[in-house]
Amino acid sequence: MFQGLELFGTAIVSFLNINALLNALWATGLGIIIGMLPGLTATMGVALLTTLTFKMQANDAILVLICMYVGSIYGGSRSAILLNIPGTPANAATTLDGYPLALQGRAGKAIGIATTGSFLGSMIGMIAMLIFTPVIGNIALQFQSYEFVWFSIFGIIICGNLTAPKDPLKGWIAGFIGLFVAMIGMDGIHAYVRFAFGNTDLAGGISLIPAMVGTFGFAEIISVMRYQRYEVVKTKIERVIPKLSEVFKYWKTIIRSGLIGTLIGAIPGVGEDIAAWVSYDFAKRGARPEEKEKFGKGSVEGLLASETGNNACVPGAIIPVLTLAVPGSAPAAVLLGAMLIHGVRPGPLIMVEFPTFIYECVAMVFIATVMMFILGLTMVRPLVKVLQIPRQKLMPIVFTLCLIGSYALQSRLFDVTIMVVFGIIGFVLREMEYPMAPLVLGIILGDILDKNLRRALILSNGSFAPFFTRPICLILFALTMLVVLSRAKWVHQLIGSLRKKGS
Amino acid sequence: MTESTMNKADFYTSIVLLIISLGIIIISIQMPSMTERNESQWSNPGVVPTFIGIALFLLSGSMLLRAIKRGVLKKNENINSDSKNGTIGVEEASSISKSPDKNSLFSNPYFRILITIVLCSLYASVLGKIWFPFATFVFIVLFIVVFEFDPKKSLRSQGKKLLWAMVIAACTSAAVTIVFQYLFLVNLP
Repeated sequence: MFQGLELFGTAIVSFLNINALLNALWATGLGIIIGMLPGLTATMGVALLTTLTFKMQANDAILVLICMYVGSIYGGSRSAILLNIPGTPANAATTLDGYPLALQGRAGKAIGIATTGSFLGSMIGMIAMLIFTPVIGNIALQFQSYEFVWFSIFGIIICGNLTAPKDPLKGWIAGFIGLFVAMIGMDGIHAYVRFAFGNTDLAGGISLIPAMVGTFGFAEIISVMRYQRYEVVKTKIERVIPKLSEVFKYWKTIIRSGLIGTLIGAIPGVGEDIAAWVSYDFAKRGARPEEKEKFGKGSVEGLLASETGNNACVPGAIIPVLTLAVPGSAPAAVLLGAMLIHGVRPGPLIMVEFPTFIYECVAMVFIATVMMFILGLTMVRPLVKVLQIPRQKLMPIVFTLCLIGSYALQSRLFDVTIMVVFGIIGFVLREMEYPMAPLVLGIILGDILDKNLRRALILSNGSFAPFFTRPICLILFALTMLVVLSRAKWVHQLIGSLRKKGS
Repeated sequence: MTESTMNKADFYTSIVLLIISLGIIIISIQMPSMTERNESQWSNPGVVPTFIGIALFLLSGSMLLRAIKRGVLKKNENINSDSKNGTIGVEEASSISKSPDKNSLFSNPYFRILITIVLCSLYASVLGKIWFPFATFVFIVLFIVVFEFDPKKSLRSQGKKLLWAMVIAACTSAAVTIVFQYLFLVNLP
């Protein structure tokens, strides 16, 4: 524990130089701007910056990407408050109380509360990251192929379940489509080309970053261009810095939302939007009756809960990236790809191969959070101006960046085609209410599932027994079944009839 | 989407997915077992795709059954019930509220989606065939002009929009080219 704190302190000191601080400043500022513009999501921001940073040193590049991630998740609250449109999906719950507060002429207060909530959420997540990443890293060292197989299946099932709460079937289908996409190209054991149909480009496989830029970038551009314009709420922005008593009155909500956000972040593929909704829901249930009535009409507690929850999710989502090489959210998936590009191999061996890297990442989250807090409270009026940029002028520039970003990583024109195709498919699937997070998670987990299932079967000589007898496997299997059965109608009917009989 | 439209979409999507998953299973089973290379039969590259194909088949099968259970095959009695009641879907309502002029083609959400996809796809398809800065310039000018064009106003009065579009396009094209080609040393298409 103390050694961890020492390493964390050393990592912070190593970032206290002009170069790193300037990088953190512009990246967080850009993140806030990207987050607050409807149509530009955190995933897209991190993906685009991955291409812009691939010539940098690994630590500088990852610092920039984490700053972008933290900044954009926070930045989305600005448009949620002033436009009633969440800048990123993570801020959807923020609109419920942020916009009514702005309509009441308290936009400045809402912005201040959202900034403080995001700061505290990030800090709680960062502390959890500092404590639990090495612990989970040590547990992950015990993972063998059998465990990785169950972990991949569990990841798809839980992610599909939570990102499509109304219809988990669509979440699961999206996840398995993602797994299939990962099967295209050469397999990792024999280099046998699968599902390429003689196409040499397809034989090289489908790269993650162009696919993600398509599903989260181009699909979003199509979605945004559908309507003509949005109106910024006309209100005078008064005092932004909130009174401490006003915030710490809700200390229970802050801690609870921070922990919920971090925990949800750590679940594979389940991102900041779910973290914000769950935190909001818990805050509403736990609120005093007089406060409960204000929820949805401009409750400070509601706004604080959703913003604390979504920003706490960011460090939470980085925990499985570092320890298991499995992303906790869509932007974390790009971050994982960026780490691999920069020669860092996250996963169970990270504690052995790069023992200080975990603490460097925690320090990066800390620096990003402080930058976000400073910029969030000081740059209020100039940032409101950004919201007034017409979408028809902004979106072609964004598409140009999506296009060149997809191309730049491998200088392959085929990646541009992948981006466009995934953008159109992603848009159509989203219109039919298929969540995109399980699809992206599937693309990442596909390779893990492919290698580990075959390796496990070779080791057990075709026997499935170890998949059900090893302790971690049993837990993961039980959790997977629990998630599936909890959504089955017949199970609910059976429990209901058993209860009736019992009474 | 209304519930009946979504049910219809689910029905057709599940059929497409069933066909695709069957294709995946058939192709995966035909993959070499690798035993001829003295490798374990469990290292067969088709093992995991077969598993994925079966899972996808089961999931899309249950979606198909659900769509049938919800009455997708029944005669279109209820399909237009929303419009018969005089009510409209949430999406339709929001599109109307967000479109100040619903008579204009350019405020039609479907037309705007189509134009966006066509312009972006065209731009992507000419990459590598046309000089990148020029293609980018033309794309941005076209995009801005098409979406800002007001058919009710005279062409001459909209000259300023064209000028602004050209300035934005030139600046973006130059900035992207300089940053990627000279700073990141990327060979632009």
